[in-house]
Amino acid sequence: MAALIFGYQPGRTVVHRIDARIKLAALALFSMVSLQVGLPALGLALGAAMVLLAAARCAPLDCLRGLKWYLVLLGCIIAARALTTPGDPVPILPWLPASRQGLEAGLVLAGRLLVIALFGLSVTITTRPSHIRAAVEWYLRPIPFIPHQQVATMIGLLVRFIPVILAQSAELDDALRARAIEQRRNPLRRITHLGMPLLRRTFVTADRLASAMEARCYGMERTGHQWRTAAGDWTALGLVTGFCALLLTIS
Amino acid sequence: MAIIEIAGLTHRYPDGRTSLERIDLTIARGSFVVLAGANGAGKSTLLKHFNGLLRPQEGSVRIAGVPVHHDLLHARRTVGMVFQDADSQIVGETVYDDAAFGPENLNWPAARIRDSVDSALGLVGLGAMGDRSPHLLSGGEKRRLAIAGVLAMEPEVIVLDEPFANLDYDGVRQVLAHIVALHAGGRTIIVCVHDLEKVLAHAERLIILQRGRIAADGPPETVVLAAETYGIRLPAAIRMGGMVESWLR
Repeated sequence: MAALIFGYQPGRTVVHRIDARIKLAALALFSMVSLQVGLPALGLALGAAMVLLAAARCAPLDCLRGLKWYLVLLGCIIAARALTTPGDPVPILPWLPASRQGLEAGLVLAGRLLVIALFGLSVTITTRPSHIRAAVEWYLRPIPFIPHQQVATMIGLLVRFIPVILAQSAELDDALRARAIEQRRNPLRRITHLGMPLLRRTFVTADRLASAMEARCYGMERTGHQWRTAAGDWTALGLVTGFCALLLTIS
Repeated sequence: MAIIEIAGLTHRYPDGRTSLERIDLTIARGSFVVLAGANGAGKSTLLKHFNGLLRPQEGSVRIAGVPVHHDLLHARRTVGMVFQDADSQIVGETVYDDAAFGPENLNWPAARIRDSVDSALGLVGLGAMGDRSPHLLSGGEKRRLAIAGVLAMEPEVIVLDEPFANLDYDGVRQVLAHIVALHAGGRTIIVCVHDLEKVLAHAERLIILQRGRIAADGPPETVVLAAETYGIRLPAAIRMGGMVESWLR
């Protein structure tokens, strides 16, 4: 289900139309700025992320629901910080063995991670995976000694095969449970019984994949992605840069 | 006129076992051939020689007159291969990306790739699913996508290894209908199966492999009668004295 929420969702919104290279650059810039700002600016950034998701025709509440386990993790981070950082007691909860400074530090850290995740989400749901791959390839191209096309192909295959491997793992798990694997007390044994066939199956899949790619003439000389950067893309980058400057000013 | 010519083809596994022994075979352009055999008969090994995934250890394989080892790209462009396991053949993150993988490898211009992919997806009835993740397709749709990925490279010959494996009745009919339509459109079709029931009614020639050799070769209606001698189940209709009917009826 999470894969459905976080995967690419076709659409014709303004956010969908922005060049993938601009989106990745904006995400990198925004992530760096988010790591420097405090709570008020993070509140503004959170609002902007929600607006962006809504503009991409993705209900922000559905996204948050999809991120529920991530939110639990963020809650744990806040609690850990609040409970372990020395300082003054929290004014409204003086009986809690937590500090105000720790709570603030936890909120800032969790806020940063949440805002970056939401902006990353707005990129992944509005950008075709092949465009993200092509953008990564474009950024890697000037770097010497990095086989940019191979790296891009690896990213593509990773995106494609994670669900396949997860499905195989679920199938194997079902087959093991059908033969009462739960009766085994030793967790190492259970992991071995699942891991070894899964590994073998993954290697077989990789072998078949290599044959299939070879049969379809995979090589180094491939047709590259056709980039078309319009004025709107530069405007979007300008807006993100301006917004980042505003966040830094507020902080 | 022959599009595939094989002479004296022999192949041995690294452990010394022989998988193909002195195969002589000619396949005419535009024909519909069924290649059958029990497990381990050498069917998949033979298919892999058609587009250079395996090179002849002895003998020769010529595709449209050109020896495979002289021009691998020519062989792979002329002979498109659809593998048995569609899941490990699909490499794209979306349906469109997967169909475009082959043409991109051929370094075609973007406009030609777009036309070819649109046409291939349209032919197999996936034209409206370009943005879907292949992981979310049904078994039959995945098999059709695997066929589209090959069709987008515009091959003359399409080789399908067990195209009906793990498909339900509807999935078999969908895939079979597309195979028959491709043949009607002029392509050479080679289907490799171990169960003749689903495809025999459309075949013009039946070749049976046994232990790496061609055991029988000829018109389906005569060759099929000896199928059980070679470890292949005789279709029920023939067993009962009738004719094999198309699954498309």
